[in-house]
Amino acid sequence: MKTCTEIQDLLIDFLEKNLDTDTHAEVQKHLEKCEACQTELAELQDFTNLIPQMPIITVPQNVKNTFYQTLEQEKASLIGKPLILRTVRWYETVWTKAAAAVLILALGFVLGHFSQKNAAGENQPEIADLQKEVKEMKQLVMLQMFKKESASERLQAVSHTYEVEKPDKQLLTALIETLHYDRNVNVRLAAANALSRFGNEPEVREALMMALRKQTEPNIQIALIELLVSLKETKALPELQQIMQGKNQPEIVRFKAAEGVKVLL
Amino acid sequence: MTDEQLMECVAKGDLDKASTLFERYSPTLHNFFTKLTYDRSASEDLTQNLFVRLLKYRHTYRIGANFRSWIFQMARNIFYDQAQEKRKMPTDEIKEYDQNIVFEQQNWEQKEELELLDKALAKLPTDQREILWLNRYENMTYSEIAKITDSTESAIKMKAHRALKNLKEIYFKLM
Repeated sequence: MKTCTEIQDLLIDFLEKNLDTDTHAEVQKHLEKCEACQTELAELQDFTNLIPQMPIITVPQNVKNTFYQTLEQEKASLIGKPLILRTVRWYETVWTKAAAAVLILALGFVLGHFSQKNAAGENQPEIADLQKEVKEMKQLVMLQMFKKESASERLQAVSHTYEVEKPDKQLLTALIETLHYDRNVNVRLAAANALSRFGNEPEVREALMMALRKQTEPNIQIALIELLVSLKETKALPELQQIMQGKNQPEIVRFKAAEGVKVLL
Repeated sequence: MTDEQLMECVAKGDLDKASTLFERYSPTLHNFFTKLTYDRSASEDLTQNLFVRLLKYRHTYRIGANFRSWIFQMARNIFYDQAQEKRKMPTDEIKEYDQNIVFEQQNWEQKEELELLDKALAKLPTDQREILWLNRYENMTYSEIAKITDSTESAIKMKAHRALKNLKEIYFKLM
């Protein structure tokens, strides 16, 4: 006969069905008449059931971006065209140089005025002007990068938008166009994720829903479903329900859509 | 396509297939790293390094090998290499517990219990925490964990049971 302590030591094995038939029967028999061990078993069961319910942390955007950038670079080097990166870098320096030249000019201009008008204390608005100009210049370079030949450059353009807090029409349009029409899946995916930051803009929600109708790549469909659900966009419900029932949709996409419908309803 | 087929394509140069593997496995591995480190930026770095390594060392994938075991093996190597660099023993307990890492903005039915469980888990030694997570959360068999950790099934089973008992004890003490 085993003591309660001995029985309780066997409970994990008992639950995992690891015990030989005789020992299993012995534990079973003991449990039937021992309340303390029953409680212990119930407690253990509840506890082990709790573990798989731990909430999951989502993968942060910067980790995704780095992965897709590395992927594009690896692909470029595979085709034996490491030159792409070098050529692009050359273009980039032209842009940077152009930007720098304009900045220096503007700075010189303002400084000239600054020294003259300092006494009058009228320099404040001009510094604001200058800051505005720098911002516009940065944005211009960024918008230009969306049109680059190599996907990793365009991915970079998308990730640069994370520096912008309040986007203007032009930037949003560039991102939306990228989401709809970029020929590279990963760039489209990154654009979708970047747009989700501006989920308060009606046109962004509209664009995400339109993309959900048009995109056929499962990775993008899944990302879009997740985004629309996290934005609590109930207008996406009909589309989600349609995907759910779509026979041509991959199983995982249908599953995600069903999950989304459950949350939104 | 199975994970193994996808990885075979990647190893042979069809790199786009890696994005499906990334979408399938990055949440799992990111959460694994978070449980190993309880450190937000460290686990982000580890996840990033892991998938960059998957791309760069794709040739080392043995065709037909179980993908999940392979990527978890790589994940452990990265983690223990880095822990060694920091001269931190892998058995160290988590000193500063960052509760927000899991529970921010979330509204879970069993929020209190799960928060407590997370706190208890942080108090387990890293090696026990690792095995417990793989076994109880990722639902891996003892033999798969043994393969990943280069150990024996019976040793892993013993460790996993000890970890579960310890965790339960800590949990009820915290209550």
